[in-house]
Amino acid sequence: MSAAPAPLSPLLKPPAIETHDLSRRFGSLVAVADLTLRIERGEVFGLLGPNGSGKTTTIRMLCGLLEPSGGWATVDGINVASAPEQVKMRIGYMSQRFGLYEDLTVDENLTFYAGIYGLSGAKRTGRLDTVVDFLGLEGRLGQLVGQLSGGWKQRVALACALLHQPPVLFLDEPTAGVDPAARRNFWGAIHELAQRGTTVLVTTHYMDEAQRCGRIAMMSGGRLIALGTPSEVAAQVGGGGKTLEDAFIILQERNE
Amino acid sequence: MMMPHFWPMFWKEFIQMRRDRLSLAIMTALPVAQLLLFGYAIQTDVRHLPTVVFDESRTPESRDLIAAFENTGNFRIIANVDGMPSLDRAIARGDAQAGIVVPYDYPRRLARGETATVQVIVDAADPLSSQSAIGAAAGVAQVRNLEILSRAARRTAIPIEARVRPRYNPGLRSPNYIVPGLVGVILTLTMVLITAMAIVRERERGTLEQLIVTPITKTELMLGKIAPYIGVGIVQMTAVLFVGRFVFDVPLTGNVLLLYMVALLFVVASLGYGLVISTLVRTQQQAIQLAFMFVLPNILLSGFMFPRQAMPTVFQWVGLALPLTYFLKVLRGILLKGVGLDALWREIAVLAGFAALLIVVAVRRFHKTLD
Repeated sequence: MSAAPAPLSPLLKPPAIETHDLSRRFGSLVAVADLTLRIERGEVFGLLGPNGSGKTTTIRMLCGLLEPSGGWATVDGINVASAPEQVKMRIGYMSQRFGLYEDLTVDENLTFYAGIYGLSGAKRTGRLDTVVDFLGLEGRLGQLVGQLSGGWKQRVALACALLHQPPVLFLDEPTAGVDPAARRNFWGAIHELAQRGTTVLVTTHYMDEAQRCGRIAMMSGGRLIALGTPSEVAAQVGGGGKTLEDAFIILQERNE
Repeated sequence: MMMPHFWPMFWKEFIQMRRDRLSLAIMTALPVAQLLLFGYAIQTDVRHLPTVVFDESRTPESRDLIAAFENTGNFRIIANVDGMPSLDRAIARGDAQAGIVVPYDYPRRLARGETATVQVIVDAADPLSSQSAIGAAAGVAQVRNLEILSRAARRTAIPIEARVRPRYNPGLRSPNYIVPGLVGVILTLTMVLITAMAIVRERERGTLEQLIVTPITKTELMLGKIAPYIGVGIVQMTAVLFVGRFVFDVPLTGNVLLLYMVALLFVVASLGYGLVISTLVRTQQQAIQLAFMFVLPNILLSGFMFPRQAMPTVFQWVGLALPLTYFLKVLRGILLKGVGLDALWREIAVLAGFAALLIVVAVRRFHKTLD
């Protein structure tokens, strides 16, 4: 296991996310093997791959939810294994499974997470107004989250993840089970955030969404097998003239 | 102690608790329902046992004796039968639980100064209900013997009398014994069950994953989760004491404020046990099963219903690991005996120790990771 790099001088901002030989085993199963990535600030970076290829495990390690078995990773320059609690203030996270309280209203969920992220007074009111406005939640504040449709739930979850203005955002299949119009809206919001400097790491199954990422990494069996812009990855995996979708299917068949 | 994330956590739990109407109704109705059940249905002193009489002699002496049996209040004569077979049948069928047989020579032997026998048959399949009848039958004979013997010895005073003074519960009423204990049992049951599910419910619903990627500390998370239920515990205790006082006439002799302060320690200790259970299990179902496995020894071994002195030593030790054992002493001490801190400080110290230890263990066992 190699050591994480020493902190850089304050003038040189570290990359948003950096991993080196990052690995995770569950017993004898290798979920992620020797993953090395460098994601710059403001990128929308897509993580693609069939189920069980290690996408979620990678995100969970970067969020401090799982300890790496080998290698290292930094988020906003902070080592996730040695200082997971410091990482938590700098990231927003949307889990694959909807993680907000369905028996609380939209407003109560937002207020709760604002409190948990240590916001208070005018700062809290300001941030709540900003995210509500950004995601168009005004008319929904009094509704119980459990009664919202999939698309609205995802917006509320994103709002909660943005309250503390994290520089890095992790979205694990954020649009699974959401209708196409709501997905387009959601991606509009993601690009707006990236333009303002937020780094977004997103996993997805939808090829149209992968096309909207600046760069993508394709994973299979816990390993990185292709990295680059969507068209570069399509060419790497599928050969000339193939689309990203062709590449994905080739990959899945090779895996079976 | 700075815990900036405690209040948001507390507030969230409080809203969720308030919104879960069914659980809230159960938590408030349970103590009163249990109390009425235990208070009215469970009486360990069995009176008025249905009794059949086979009186062979049919004399004023035999009728006098049977009246003496009935006057103890332990026997209720339901029928006179004309032979042993019908007496046996009545007891075997369960129509009667006792039978009194007065032989034909009863008055003659009495008059001659010989030992006159009377037979009392008791259905002892249920030892608890037969016990007082057996005691009363022996008592009837003894009182008669004393009368006859002192007359014969021409004494006006009996030689020795043991004057028994049943202190703290002179009427030997079972509500006085059961109700204070019930406060502790109900608190154990609800507090342990609620918190055993606390962490694991969030894990099952997927909300824990979202919560542990935030800067909230383990201690804030745990304390924020249990704090609203301290209030529930205090409400439950008040309900039981209130009904106990005004429906069952259970005395509140001692310092009630002290009792509430000790109850606070006991509630935190019970919530702590629940939290530890919550860190041991993966599903809500396992949590419920484990919580019940914990509650049962509390009811059996704490001294709530069965005296601890009668238990084998090993089980007495097990009882010492249960906060309820100490809280029961405090409850009965304050409510019935009216004693204070000077008599109960040891139990109170142990409860405080339990509360602190269990919360620390729960926090240390919990990890802000998914594996």
